[in-house]
Amino acid sequence: MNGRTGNGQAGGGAARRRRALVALFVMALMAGILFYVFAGESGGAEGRSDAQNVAAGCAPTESDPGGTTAYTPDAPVRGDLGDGLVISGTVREAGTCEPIEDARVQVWLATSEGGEYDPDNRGSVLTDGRGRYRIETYPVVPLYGEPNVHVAYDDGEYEAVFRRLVIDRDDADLTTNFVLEPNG
Amino acid sequence: MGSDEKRRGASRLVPGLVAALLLVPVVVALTSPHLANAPAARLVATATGVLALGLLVFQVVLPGRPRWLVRAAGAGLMRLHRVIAIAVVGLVLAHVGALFVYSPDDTLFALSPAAPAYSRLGVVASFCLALTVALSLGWRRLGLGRPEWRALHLALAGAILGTAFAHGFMVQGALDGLLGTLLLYAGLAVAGASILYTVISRSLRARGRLASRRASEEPSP
Repeated sequence: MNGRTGNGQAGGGAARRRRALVALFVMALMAGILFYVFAGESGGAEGRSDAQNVAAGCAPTESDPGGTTAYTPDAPVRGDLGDGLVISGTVREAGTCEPIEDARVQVWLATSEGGEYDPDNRGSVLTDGRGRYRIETYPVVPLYGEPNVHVAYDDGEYEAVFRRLVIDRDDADLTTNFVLEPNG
Repeated sequence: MGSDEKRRGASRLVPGLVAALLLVPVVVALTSPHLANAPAARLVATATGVLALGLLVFQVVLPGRPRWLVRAAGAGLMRLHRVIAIAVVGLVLAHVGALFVYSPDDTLFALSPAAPAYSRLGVVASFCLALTVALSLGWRRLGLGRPEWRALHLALAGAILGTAFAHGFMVQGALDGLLGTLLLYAGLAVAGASILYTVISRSLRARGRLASRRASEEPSP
């Protein structure tokens, strides 16, 4: 009788330990899920205005996670790709803050006309004497879950920068400015 | 109508009804303007993702053993639960595979920790699904008792559904619009109610068993 009671208590203790371990595992799993999902940043913002860039001493622009997806080097320089979304900005040199002329900026995005890989949705544009670029496309549509526009500097004169900017599909303009670091 | 006739009627009607309900969101998604002129890989990715979500809802209805399903499937309910689990795993693999075929770059980014929250939710849902399948095969070997396994399974089922539906709600695309949103809410409501029904009915059954055991153990006066 005593032996049975002792075994029962030992068995009850093991069961309690198992339950506690399972409860701990579930709590750790839920905490891990919440941390993984909500701790990271998502979606590139348009970033600093040109005036803010100058005021901040022209710190280099950083690439966004996913900025290089569906990238094709040396996209041809061409005119507007469509109408409805104007993508523009200014390109400056880090440190000196001087505008960069003839910097090549590439744009690619998914539109109602096709996906990111569609050659009609991809094109490069050169900056003018004041470092400004402008290209018009059809409005962006969601691809891989959100409307995202790729804008990159990639002509090799400076360190390449790849932005992946998340906007609303109804947005008619997107301004993103670049501050480039010399290669090196 | 006799019970055999009822069973035969249910076994013919219920599978057709369930299949039709599962196809509704797939048709809504595939006919969305968002997928107009989309290549086959994107259509496959959308259809498999939406169907997996629908099957997950049906999956959590089964353990509650509602009468209409017991009539239709009889003793095969839990076998069906395992078959659906395998089907959902296959559909999730096909979903990711089709996305990869469409754009390897975008898919690798979507699977990375730097991806947007809705992508990370999809990754977490897939991870919890894989963990559930692995644990369902090995919970006895881990020395878990049935109550612990059930609690673990319930927590994982909640995590899979919560993250998978959050993924579905947050992804902009084929289920945008009133009908798609309503279908997502309806699926979430059915899944939530089913889990609640399972937990309550199991608890009531366990109490009933305990009460009848106590009654039988009481010495007669």
